[in-house]
Amino acid sequence: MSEALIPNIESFIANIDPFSRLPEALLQKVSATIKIVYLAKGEVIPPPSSEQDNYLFIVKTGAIEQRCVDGSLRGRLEEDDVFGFSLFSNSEARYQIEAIDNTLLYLVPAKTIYYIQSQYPEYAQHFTAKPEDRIDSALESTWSDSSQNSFFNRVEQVASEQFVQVNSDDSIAQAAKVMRDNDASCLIVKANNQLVGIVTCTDLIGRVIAEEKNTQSPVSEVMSTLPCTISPKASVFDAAICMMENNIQNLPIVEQGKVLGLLSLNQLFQNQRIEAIYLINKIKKSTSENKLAEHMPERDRIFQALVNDKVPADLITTILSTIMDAVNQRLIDIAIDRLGPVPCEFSWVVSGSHARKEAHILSDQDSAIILSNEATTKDKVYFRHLAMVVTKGLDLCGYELCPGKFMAVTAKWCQPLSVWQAYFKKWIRNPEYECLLNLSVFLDTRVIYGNNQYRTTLVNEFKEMLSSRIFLSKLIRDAVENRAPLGIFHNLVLSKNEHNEKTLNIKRYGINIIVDLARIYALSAKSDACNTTDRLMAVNKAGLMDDATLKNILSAYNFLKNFRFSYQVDMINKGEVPSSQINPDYFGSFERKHIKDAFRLIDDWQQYTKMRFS
Amino acid sequence: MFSLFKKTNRWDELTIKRAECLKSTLPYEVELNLSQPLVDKNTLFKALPFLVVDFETTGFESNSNDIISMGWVEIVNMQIDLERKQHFYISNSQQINHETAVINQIVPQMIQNNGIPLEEAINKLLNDSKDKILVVHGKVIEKNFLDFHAQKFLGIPELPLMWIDTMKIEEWKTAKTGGNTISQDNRLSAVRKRYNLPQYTAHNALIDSVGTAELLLAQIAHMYRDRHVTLETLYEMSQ
Repeated sequence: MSEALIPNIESFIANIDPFSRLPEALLQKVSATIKIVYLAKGEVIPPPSSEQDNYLFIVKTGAIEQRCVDGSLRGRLEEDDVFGFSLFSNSEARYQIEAIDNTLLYLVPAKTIYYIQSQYPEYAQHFTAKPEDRIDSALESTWSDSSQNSFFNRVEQVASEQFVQVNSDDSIAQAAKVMRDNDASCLIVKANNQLVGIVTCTDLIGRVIAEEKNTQSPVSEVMSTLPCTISPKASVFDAAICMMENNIQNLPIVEQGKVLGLLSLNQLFQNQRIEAIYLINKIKKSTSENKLAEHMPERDRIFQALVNDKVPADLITTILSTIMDAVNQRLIDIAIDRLGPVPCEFSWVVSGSHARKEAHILSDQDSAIILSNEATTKDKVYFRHLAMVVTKGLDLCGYELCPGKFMAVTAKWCQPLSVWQAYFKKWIRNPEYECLLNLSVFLDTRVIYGNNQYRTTLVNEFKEMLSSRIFLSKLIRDAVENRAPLGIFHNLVLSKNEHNEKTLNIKRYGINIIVDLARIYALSAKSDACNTTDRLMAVNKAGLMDDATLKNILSAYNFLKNFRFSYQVDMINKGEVPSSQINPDYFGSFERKHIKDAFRLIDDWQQYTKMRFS
Repeated sequence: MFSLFKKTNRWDELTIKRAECLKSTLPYEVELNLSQPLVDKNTLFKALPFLVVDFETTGFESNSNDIISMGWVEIVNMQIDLERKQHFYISNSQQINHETAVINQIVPQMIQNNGIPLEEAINKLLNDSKDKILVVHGKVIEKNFLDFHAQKFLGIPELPLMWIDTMKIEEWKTAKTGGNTISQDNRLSAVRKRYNLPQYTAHNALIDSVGTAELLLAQIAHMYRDRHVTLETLYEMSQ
């Protein structure tokens, strides 16, 4: 039966996820087991009585509504939507299906699903009863096809073991000859068989030729000492971040003190040029705000390229955060050059998504300065000026001013450590609305310049108070105010209260719910982690969250973040301003299905957490 | 001799015709089909096993045109079951009219390679439908071609089968609701459109039988919300 006998049905389900993933021959087999039913508007399908009566349902025409046993709305589904996965698991409550329009339903029998799962294990994941597994498989096939994405390879898989080396007392000329003869652009320098430095072509130009240095001098005088190194077991991702953060293009691969190889930027991304590192290099060399700003369109191009290359969202946000760090740090240097040396110790603190290393292209600036307690009134004026230069510079570079004025340029947020301690004390004791808002901003902080100790002092001092049950119950009240919607129906966002919204704010009603709850859990676990994924992992490690929940939430979180980025890039390509407000027209049946799963996981977790901390 | 039974209803009439035919020597499948007692006329729609059939032909005239293909699908418990379906090309079609072939997306090679003799296909149809109610959209063509075959090869005046006709049901419904039965387009795709059933671009005998099956389910759902309708009523509507 090679010829399609019911091409209308086969071609229909061939476009419906997850059937769209099946090969044609299997698709024909699946089609041949379908049953078709017709429901007039208002008719109800009773919950299946036995496992034999279980089906996956595909809405061919019309629309249906799902209601839980208690009568609450569970979801609405329209043409091309698939439902019934959860009917295959006994864990989930059964629900009632009612046609809210005249509806033609295709029913795929349970035995067909079991057949696919047993005979074609490679497709089983797409048909699982667990929404988190379905999201994972959707994520995998949509955003992180490991074959085309080398980020998760290990360093030893991509690096060459060939490298050249000299001794630290060899002359510069000898080193240059070794490089020439081996066609190498980077050289390992050893002393007593230990790694002591590296020399690159750029070093020879900048430190030897330009300086007219005697080439008979020992190479140790021009090498970069104590270079960053990487373990052969580290991921390419880690190596890339290390290069970016340190603005270097060569990393010796070291295991137990022994040099095993040399990893260069070119090796890292043979197919995927990571322009971010070149951009950071340009940022570090920029001497004025205007020059910095000139480079910033490159940031948006990098973002688009990363999204188009299906790079996972957490990697993209790490890269965008690293770029933001570099711009911010460079601006502080520029300000110091202009205003004269800093009069006292300080730390420049970033907060919000930037602090969590979750920066995206719409991230605004959130910052603060913690000054030494010795700072004089005059010193404070200096730092307000410094903050002014940095804030304006960031704005010029496309990092918008924080509408809540959580910026170091605001006098209130440029204070000595003792004042910050008083702030925290007050906020924790009187968790009223405004205090909670301040707290939630400054609970996510990271020092990107200056003395790191001030922040650590603050964090450690209040760790106990912040993890108290009473305080957490106050925080949770705020974090459960927004609830994830049920899904998308007829191009509107369907919410729990059965009202419809015209656009989906994926940040407020999805991503931020996870970010806020992760913060609360992290406080409860007294974890210092700041990044949402790190926080969830730490909480799991501390025994406050089981493995299954961790997996669920990470799946939902990654799906929403990847989805938001894809949407934003599509908007940029259409010449529109990217935002987090998604027009439901954008959703096909694939997106509707998975976003519904993600929202359901988030909502379950939110309601559970509410009970737990209240 | 049928004049003796003029007063009897259609049901008894059909029963008698079937008994008459069985007096002739018939192929096994034909005899098997006709010897089944008719399904109880008070059986409700929900419990009726249907076999929905469609023929693709080279034209309307059973004596000069040919059947190109046949397709059928069963309805069990008000579910169209694609596991229970058949589709055959007929190999002894004399010639395929070029236009028909284009419309039906059938090329002569398909028939030469995959076709079975007409008699075999009809016997399979009669076997599969022996304990089921036949459904068709516009019974004239299917009935005429089968009766022509019966006259020519079986020596009986017709094949006395019980036909439920979705086209007739649609006319009946229109007449009942005071609509204009003459000007209304009652071709399958037009009727399906009125019920908001999906438009299929591809056509073959099997797709159209599935399409007819969907239409029957929709028609009954709209006329009888509780599906409380007997076979007898359906049969009356189909005349």
